[in-house]
Amino acid sequence: MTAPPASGGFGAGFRAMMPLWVGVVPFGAVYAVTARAAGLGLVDTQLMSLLVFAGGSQFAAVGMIAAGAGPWTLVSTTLLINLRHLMYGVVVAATTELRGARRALAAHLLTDEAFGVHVAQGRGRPAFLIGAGLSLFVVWNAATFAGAVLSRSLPDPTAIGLDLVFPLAFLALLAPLVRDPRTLAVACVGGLSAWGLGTVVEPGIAILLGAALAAGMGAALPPGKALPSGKRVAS
Amino acid sequence: MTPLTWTILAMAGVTYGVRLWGLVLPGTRLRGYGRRFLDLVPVAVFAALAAGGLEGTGTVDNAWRLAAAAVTVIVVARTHALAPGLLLGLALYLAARALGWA
Repeated sequence: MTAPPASGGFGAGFRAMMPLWVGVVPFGAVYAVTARAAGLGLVDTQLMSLLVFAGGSQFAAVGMIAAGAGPWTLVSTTLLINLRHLMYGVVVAATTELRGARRALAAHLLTDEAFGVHVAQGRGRPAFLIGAGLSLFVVWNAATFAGAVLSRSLPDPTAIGLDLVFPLAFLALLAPLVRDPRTLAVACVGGLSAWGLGTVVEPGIAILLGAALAAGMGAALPPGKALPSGKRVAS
Repeated sequence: MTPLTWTILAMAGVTYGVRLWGLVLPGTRLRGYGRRFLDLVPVAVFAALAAGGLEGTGTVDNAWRLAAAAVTVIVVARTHALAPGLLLGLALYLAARALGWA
């Protein structure tokens, strides 16, 4: 992994996340609607988006609260679902110099989406990562607030097809990284194993296990000849 | 503070801890298999994240979702830009739904 120049990029990172807002806004709002329906107050609903800031585990937590789960179940499930973020941190730290307050802030903002756009477009630029993360944080929290306040009049984004934004965004980030038979094999194994595991375990855990299996297998393979491939992706 | 607020704080603590832990681990010093593993993590994670969300509600819906995915990949491969591929793929799927095809 080669690191481009470390300076600048906050605005570029912020803008790189904008295409994903179309999917983030309805899901942030729906999270809030679900949370209110599960009995959470306005403050707790917003606090989860502000402090946990991890959509998948927030949805899981709200579902478990509605089902009467206890605090330890909620915390341990959150930990399991978000364990994949450990891999993100290691990958980011290998290419991007993060120290002190920047590292502390980046740790809070390191979501699936921020990791994705950073790897695709902002490697080596800590400000890009923080801009991308903050872009998502602001929109997710604004959508949470709007959803919590207007909880009765919002449509379900899955029912209108907007749930497809996220897989399409990750495919768009994946496409330029598939450069040789090895990366193609890793993508296929990662996708198929996460899909298969997702039928038996929590999606966050399926992603963690599927990705670890695929990367572990790929690391043992030779790269082979390069496929006709692209440059770094731009927003 | 309510017990639920304390639980949310604990959830935030473990999430933040996992993220920070990754950022402070000495990944740059890895060589060989460990380094190759790290280099392949983005490919594996993006594929895993995409696959989980692609499945729809039935055969016809799945076919349109796969068509939208194909459009996204083709446009990104040709333009090297995220937004056009994402928006065209989504537009195809939403149009199919609006026309009652998906």
